[in-house]
Amino acid sequence: MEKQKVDENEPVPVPAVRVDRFGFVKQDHSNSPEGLSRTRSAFEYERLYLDGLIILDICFANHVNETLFREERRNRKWRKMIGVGGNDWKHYVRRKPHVVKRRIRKGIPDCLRGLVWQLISGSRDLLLMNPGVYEQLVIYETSASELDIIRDISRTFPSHVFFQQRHGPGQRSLYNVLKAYSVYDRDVGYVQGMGFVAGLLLLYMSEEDAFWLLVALLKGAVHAPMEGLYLVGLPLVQQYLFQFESLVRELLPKVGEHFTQEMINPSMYASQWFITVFSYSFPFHLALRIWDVFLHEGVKIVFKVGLALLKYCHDELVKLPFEKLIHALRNFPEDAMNPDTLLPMAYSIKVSKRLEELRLEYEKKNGQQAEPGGRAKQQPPETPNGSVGGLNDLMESKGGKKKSSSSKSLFYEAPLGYSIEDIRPAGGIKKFRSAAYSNVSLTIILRSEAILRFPIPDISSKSGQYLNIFFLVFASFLQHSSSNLSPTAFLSSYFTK
Amino acid sequence: MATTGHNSLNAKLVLLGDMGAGKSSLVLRFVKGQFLEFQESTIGAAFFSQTLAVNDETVKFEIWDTAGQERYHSLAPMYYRGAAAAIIVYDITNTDSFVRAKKWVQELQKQGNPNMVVALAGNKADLEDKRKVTSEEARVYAEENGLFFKESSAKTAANVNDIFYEIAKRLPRAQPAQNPAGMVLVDRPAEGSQAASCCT
Repeated sequence: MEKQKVDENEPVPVPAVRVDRFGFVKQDHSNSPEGLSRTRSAFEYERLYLDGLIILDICFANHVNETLFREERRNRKWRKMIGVGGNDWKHYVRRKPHVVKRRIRKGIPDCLRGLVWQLISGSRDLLLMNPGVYEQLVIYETSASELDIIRDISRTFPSHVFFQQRHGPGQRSLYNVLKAYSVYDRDVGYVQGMGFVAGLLLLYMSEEDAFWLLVALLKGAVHAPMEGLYLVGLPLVQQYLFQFESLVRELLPKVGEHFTQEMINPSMYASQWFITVFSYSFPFHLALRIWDVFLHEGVKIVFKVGLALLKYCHDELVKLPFEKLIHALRNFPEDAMNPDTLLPMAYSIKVSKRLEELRLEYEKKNGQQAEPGGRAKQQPPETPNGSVGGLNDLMESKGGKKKSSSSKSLFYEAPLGYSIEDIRPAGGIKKFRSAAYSNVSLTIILRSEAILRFPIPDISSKSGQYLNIFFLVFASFLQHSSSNLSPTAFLSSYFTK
Repeated sequence: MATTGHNSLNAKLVLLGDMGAGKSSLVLRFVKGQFLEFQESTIGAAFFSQTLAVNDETVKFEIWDTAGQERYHSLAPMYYRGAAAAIIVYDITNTDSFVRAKKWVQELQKQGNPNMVVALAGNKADLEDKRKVTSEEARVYAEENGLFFKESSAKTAANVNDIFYEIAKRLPRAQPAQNPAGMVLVDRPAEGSQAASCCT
């Protein structure tokens, strides 16, 4: 049967690259001498990629049917909750906040993730209130950080197909978003680590959407602003590490004591957790689940997950000497990284109250030192409607209005690629080209044996950057599965219908 | 600080230098004998260890690889404090990275341990045609500041191990090593050592 043919044990044609369902290149350790697959340069991958020899990881029908069914049911619930184009979201959140919270904690369906992230982070409002601003920042402004950004571009998610191609669409969007932000906020500029955050967002949304989400996070559209993570002196990193260390000592005293004995400082293992919100050097499927909750509930989930990891590995950690300990804290076992085990544990750890007390304690202790440049730290950690300082200015000065209660008209659904109208709260109609749905996910079932899922973040984007990569990957898949349809014919028939 | 045991020495070593100069690549080459064209940026810091045999003694390096960007400066002291050795890395194709390296030298002279063995590594020596910093300039600077200087290439492995050997030799000991020659690399795969020798 066909199915046997595609069995994973079947040797694939020699130069093929396997990617996981998120697009990260899989390291094949089984039949290559150690290190060989690792030392294959990204340049070679790029070649393979361009030659259309990448194959996508596929899962097979019998698993798929069941999972698909469950997933579909969940997606339906979510679609209902969000409403057409996000119309019902705010209403639903007001009416049933607990349901929203529970569902987000279970994980946002991957095909809706990009849209929901924009809704819960407040970035969609920012986008709609600032038409043309992103383009202006990208095209017309120059940034002092450009060289730094360029130096890091090919070193951000180097194992992801989207970001691997030199000067390819992934690298270009990443550059644009980071450059735009560095112009938008010159105090922050570009800081190493932001690339991973932006990269993660770009896998789920367009450049412009990713940019505004970055703004929403760093300027504090919903939760406390996080720009302090990246300001001179990294004031917020220092504060978070202080809070984290105290929480470890209080909640996991044996671990805390052992760390002190072995001279392990939280900065040695946890600084990257905070700086990139687990998007750096962390299993991607888990990072996404953390981001779902992070965008909705704020940074306390980072503390909770960190504590849960230590708690899960508690018994081993307290036995290890310094060097092994450092290694263990960077390489948690696979079972600890299972979101369905780790996250419930994280949710059960209560930190809000202590976090707030520890923040005050930290400020009292370091108030003097943290002052210069530390303008972000003064915000209380969880301000529910917390549009603050810069963000208010932004929302008002750019001709928009601060989140208005009648903002329903800000959300709309648009057929892909069409120009749509935005009825602005102040009256008046504004034409948009770029605000169409930015997170369509395409699910294709091929001869009922394989399912391919790929987010297509911005189908309406002028340059169609994202589509290119999708086409390439998909076309290569079709080639591999020796389809009768030519890839171009298939794709054009699909997209022009 | 370097601590001695029975014929063995533990030495904390820190890598400092501008972003993209090749700190992580040098460590990866030294510790695992590998090189990645696109080495992921280091966020925060990363820890490695590697043991070398110098005569009848073993030196175990506990290596902290740091994030290079200026903005991360505030995290650096905790890694260089108490370090027995430092490698300050710059990129020979980038003048700014050399300027930054000099700043690190000054900072270590002011803040660091006075007995610290400091090496200056001009990395990416394989990119001769893009060179912006001459070896002469760096050598003179290193001599003036009492640093050990080598140009290296993590990509071709040139001089990478030599830098670590030289540091191992220079580490202060209770009893100085009598014959600082003929070092043998131990505790690493044969494949890695091959990478260090020039012709295979």
